[in-house]
Amino acid sequence: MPAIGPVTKPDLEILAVLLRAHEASEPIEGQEIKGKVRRFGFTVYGTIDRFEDTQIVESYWTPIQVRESNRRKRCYRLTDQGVVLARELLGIRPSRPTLSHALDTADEKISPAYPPLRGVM
Amino acid sequence: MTISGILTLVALPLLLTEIGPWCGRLSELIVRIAASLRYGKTRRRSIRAEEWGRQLEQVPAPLSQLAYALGHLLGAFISLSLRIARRAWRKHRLKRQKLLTVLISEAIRASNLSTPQDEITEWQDQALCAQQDPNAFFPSRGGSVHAAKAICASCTVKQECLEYALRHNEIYGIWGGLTERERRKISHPVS
Repeated sequence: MPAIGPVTKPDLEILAVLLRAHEASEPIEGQEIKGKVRRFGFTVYGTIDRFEDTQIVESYWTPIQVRESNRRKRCYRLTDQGVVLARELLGIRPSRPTLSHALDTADEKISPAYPPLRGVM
Repeated sequence: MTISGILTLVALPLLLTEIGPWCGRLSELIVRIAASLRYGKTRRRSIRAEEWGRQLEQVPAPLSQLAYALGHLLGAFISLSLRIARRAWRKHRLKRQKLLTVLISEAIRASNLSTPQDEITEWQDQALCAQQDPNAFFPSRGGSVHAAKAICASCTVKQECLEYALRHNEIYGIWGGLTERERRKISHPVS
């Protein structure tokens, strides 16, 4: 699991918004996140930067839709480990546990102090 | 109707409508400055600048655009000052740690020095009396202390010698240029 330091309230809120977007399979842009979380841009973009650095979130450009504006849109989505982390932090159990998720949690339960066994197996 | 009245009625709205669209360009510039202040020269800077520029376009009125841009600029200043504060705090912590280690080592050294053996070797190397006749510093009753005092006067470690003698209650002999009686007067001034 990537390390993100102490988890703050804006972190959790933004993770919740991103998780909802992930489950609805919709792209979400920075402005939408900011609107839903109702926090200052400084906080929101700061946490998005941290998530991008630790690979919880990845961002991509959407193609230009000339009707709206001349610019392309920057959208964010959770990575696989981002989804797992979000579910764990928000206290949501996965409905259908995947094998990789079971392997991750199994490693933590057996030997929390040692690096995961996946390399050996 | 005064001339200034006409001016304010006509010129001012004209000026405002002229400034309006330019606000858009200004906000764009401000947002780009904010991005470079916050992110330095990384890939993320151009990404954010474009992202925030697009956000600006979605705001209809030019003055509100300016407000949003200034908000981003304020955020950039806040992040800059936070970074500076964090660096200063880290330096302060490092300095304090260094100071603490120095203080602790000094304290250890000072406590070790209080044993008489180390104390003697410290300044005794420079004592002049060691190179002279030792009997001069332990005169018999009624003997002359003049020679010993002359040697002490030209000795470099006279002060340390006296402190040592007072600390360890050396009753006999001449230490640090003072006779037994003079030292007794210093250490027990009342009696």
